[in-house]
Amino acid sequence: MRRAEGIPAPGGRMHALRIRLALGVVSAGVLQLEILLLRLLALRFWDHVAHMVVAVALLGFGASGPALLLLQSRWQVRLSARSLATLAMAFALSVPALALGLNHLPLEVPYLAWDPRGPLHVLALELLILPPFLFAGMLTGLALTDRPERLPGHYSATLAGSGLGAVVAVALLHLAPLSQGLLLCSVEGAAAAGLLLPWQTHSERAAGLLGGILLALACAAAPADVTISQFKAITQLQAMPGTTTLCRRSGPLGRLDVVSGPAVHYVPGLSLQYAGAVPRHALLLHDGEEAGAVYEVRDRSGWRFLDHTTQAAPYHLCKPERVLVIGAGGGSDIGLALFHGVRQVTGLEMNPDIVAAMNGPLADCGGAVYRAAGVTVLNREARNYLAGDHERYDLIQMALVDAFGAAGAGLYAGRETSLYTTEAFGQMLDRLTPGGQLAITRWARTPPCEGLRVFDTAAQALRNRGLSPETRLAMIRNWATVTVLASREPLPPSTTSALRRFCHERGFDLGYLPGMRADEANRFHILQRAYDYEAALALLGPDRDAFLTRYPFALGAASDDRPYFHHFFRWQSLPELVRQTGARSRAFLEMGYVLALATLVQTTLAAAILILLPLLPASGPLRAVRGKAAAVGYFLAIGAGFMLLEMSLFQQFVRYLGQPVFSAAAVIASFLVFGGIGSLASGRWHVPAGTLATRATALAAMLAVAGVAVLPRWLAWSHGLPLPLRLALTAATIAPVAIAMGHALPAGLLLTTSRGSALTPWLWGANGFASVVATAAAPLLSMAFGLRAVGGLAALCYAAAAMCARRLDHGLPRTPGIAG
Amino acid sequence: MRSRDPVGMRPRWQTALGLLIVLCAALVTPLLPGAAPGAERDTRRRPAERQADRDGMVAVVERYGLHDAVVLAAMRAVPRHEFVPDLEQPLAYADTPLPIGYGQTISQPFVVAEMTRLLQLTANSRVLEIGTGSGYQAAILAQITPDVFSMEVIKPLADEAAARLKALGYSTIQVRHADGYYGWLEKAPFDGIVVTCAAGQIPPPLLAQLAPGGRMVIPVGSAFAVQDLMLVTKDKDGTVRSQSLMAVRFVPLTRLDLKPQPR
Repeated sequence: MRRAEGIPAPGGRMHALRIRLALGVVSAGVLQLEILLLRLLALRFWDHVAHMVVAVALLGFGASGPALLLLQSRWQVRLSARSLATLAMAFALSVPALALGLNHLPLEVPYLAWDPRGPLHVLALELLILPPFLFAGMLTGLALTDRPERLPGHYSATLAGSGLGAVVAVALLHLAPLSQGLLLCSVEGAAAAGLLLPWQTHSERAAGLLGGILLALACAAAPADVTISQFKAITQLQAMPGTTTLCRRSGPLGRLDVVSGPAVHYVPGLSLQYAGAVPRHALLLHDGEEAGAVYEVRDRSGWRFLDHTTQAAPYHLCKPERVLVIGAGGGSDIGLALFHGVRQVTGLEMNPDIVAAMNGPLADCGGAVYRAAGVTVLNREARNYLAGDHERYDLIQMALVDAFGAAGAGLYAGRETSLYTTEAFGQMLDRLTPGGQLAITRWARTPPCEGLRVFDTAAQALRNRGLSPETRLAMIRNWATVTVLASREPLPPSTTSALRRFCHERGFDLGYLPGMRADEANRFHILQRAYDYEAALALLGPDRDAFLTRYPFALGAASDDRPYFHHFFRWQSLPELVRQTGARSRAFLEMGYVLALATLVQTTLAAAILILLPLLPASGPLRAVRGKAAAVGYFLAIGAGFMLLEMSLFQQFVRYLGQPVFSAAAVIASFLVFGGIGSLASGRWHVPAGTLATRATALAAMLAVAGVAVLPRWLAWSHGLPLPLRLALTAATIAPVAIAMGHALPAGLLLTTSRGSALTPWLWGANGFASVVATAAAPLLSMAFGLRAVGGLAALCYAAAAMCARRLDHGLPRTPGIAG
Repeated sequence: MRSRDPVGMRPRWQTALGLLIVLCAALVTPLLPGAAPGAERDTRRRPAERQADRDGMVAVVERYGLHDAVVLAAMRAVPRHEFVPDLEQPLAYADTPLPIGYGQTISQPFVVAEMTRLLQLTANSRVLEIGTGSGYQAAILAQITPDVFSMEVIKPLADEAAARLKALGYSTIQVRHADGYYGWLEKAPFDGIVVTCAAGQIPPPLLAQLAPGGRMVIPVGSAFAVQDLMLVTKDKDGTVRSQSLMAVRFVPLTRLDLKPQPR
């Protein structure tokens, strides 16, 4: 463990239990803070900022080593109750400061590409997030300079605290508003400081009192609520007269607001030919963005207006009796089914808060649709439900499950979406009755992107089942929406005729239909060319791959391995975009992607400055050290490998567990706890350190490769299980590789210690630097190459580490066994 | 304390004198011979400040391929910086949309110009704007026709825009604080409707208030990601049609080199 050279083992007078309790409490607070920040930033901005939290948290921990060395060398700070208590108090105070700063930060993500101050605002956000993790890292680092025999206990307390923190964080998301959850993290830091402070002298008591007063002031100054971006729908609606909030609920899946008022108008994609009335409605907002409307409809005929949207098409092709609605939301798709006399409607709504709101405060103003005769709404995630369900449906309907503006601005570019992948569409097709239809509706754009990707994804899903898509697909569009229809059977002439009639009556355009003539396309909402028809032909033809390569936006089918449905931007198109559109090309940038890129650049620079730069003055003695390249390479490789694997699994388990927060809690906690167990266990093997380092890293590489190969099937097989079981399986899946990886750091340290203490800070620095860069790079790598490729890269890193360890081991006399 | 500096006072005297002259001129101008009907626009204060910036902005708009002389003259005349918050003043004439508060924006100059061009207004057109925002688009429209009606649902924005337009001399523009969804029935029908706020749906009342032969323009996308403009037209017989227009400029970009299908 980290221990500065020449420091006498202090801490002797300090009670070990107090230190461990404090470490446990602060570690719990740190993990809670990390998870709460994921949610807070998703609400305040958009959810792709989540990756930044993990990267900056690591940066804080990475920078804590040099910061601690600085404190020790400049101010002779040593392990003592006071120094630990001060750091715990600094953590406690930095949390309300973070909350306050976040609320006042003028960062506007949608404006990022245009605003010259944007990068500074992103940097400011990172600097706001950094301090709590820096102080917590320093506290842990300082505590680990205690006497060697105490370290396993300290380390265990840290791990136990982290594991507990993940559980508490998820509970907090259920029970308390985000602002209060953050304050609890702060109070935990203060409690740790109180535990550590001896309270014996006047000065100690005065310091404790002062800390308490400061904390009270900081908590009083901290905001009671989150300031949401002015560009989110909720902020704009609240500025309109007469807007009232009917209900608000918060949970791990986000914040739900239901607002109504005279200025609320929401019927996306309504036909321009429709001149009838639209019922009064309220708007559902998830994390401040539109998630559907709740229409006050008293009888079946009240849903007639929805029959003038593209998602009504399948009801005019057949008379479904059993319908599955994915994303029941405010109940409009259920209402559409009821309008068409469907006898049995099953709605899936993964957000329990929406279900509770529809059955509670909204019961008398639109929520009744959830309890209409023949309607069953289940609080289930669609992939999980389809994996465990064997019912068959005449129609599976999935329409517009996210907001138009945010989707169009690329704010979801980095978001994993498990609903729009070939595997998901395949599952849905498998649940259709003979002649049944799968109907997917997305936003229409020019040049077309979303609709064509759905079309290609459905075509790939059909091909994967040995079915020819040419005769089984149809696509229609209007000015705002595109609906793709897929069936396991070829569409009969009666169906295609009915679809033609449906479109003609409503002024909708045919995008693709088996046997369609070119002059049938592009008649009502006129594009410069019949892009969708031409593209559909290309996607179904032999030149599909060449077309996808030529098209200026990435259109290819999304998969579970690359579940980035909203990511269309292609670097190779940028010069052409800039050449043609000048500054307007920024309108085509995806802000989620831009932010991920900005985070990578800025955290890499910050990691270099905060972690590596402080080590430069101490680089002189390194010249005499042999094998330093292999040693630094080893620590770079295990730092990068650990975080690449963690991030890859975090992203894969989002689909498995349904939500990023569950995935973050389960994956991060599992890696911390089992990695820690691995570190502790590394002392029990009676083998030389070099052998242990080589074997542990080689085993980690093999397990990572096995994970890449087997994990998708394993997750698909167990996807239908209840959430608690899936959480347990997540931990069990991660445990072996995390334990192996946990061996790598202590074994590597022992292996390299004999090369001189001058090298040790560099090894820590290399490890921290690689961790930060890998964390920030992982989302971009996943978007470019896929989640499994990132897992494979992690395996390569561990293989490289094994080779470095072998080289180090062979170049030196054998070091003694770790726990000899 | 510092003693009074008579030299330092001089600018204040000059400013006061200047203001007095401007005030007198404003009062006297309508009484002068030749201040005839239709000269309402001449009463506008036309701040000459930043004319070079404005010319530069218009040059950028022209580089996008927009060469409509009437629209360009309007863009050259309206002091965009008067419609931009203090914080964004350095970027007032930049080729960028800008936030104006309440989650609203002043559109990128080219988007404003293109929307205005698409309306094909004449001096006799009646035009309705939904989403006044800062009032900039309304001011551009008023350079072409005096009959500009603008609606803003956010009261502070409506009040500020009305005051700003009045102060700048755009006295023919009528600003109403109301929900634009229902249009402005008393002033209908309109030859042009421009919807400069995000539209989750195209309100049927607005379609009804569009005159036969009229044109409605809607930017599609969020405030900073307007990739497409939608033009809705109403034929003489009342048939409503729509088109996506910005894509025209991206034709080579899409590179759909497919053989035309037999017709």
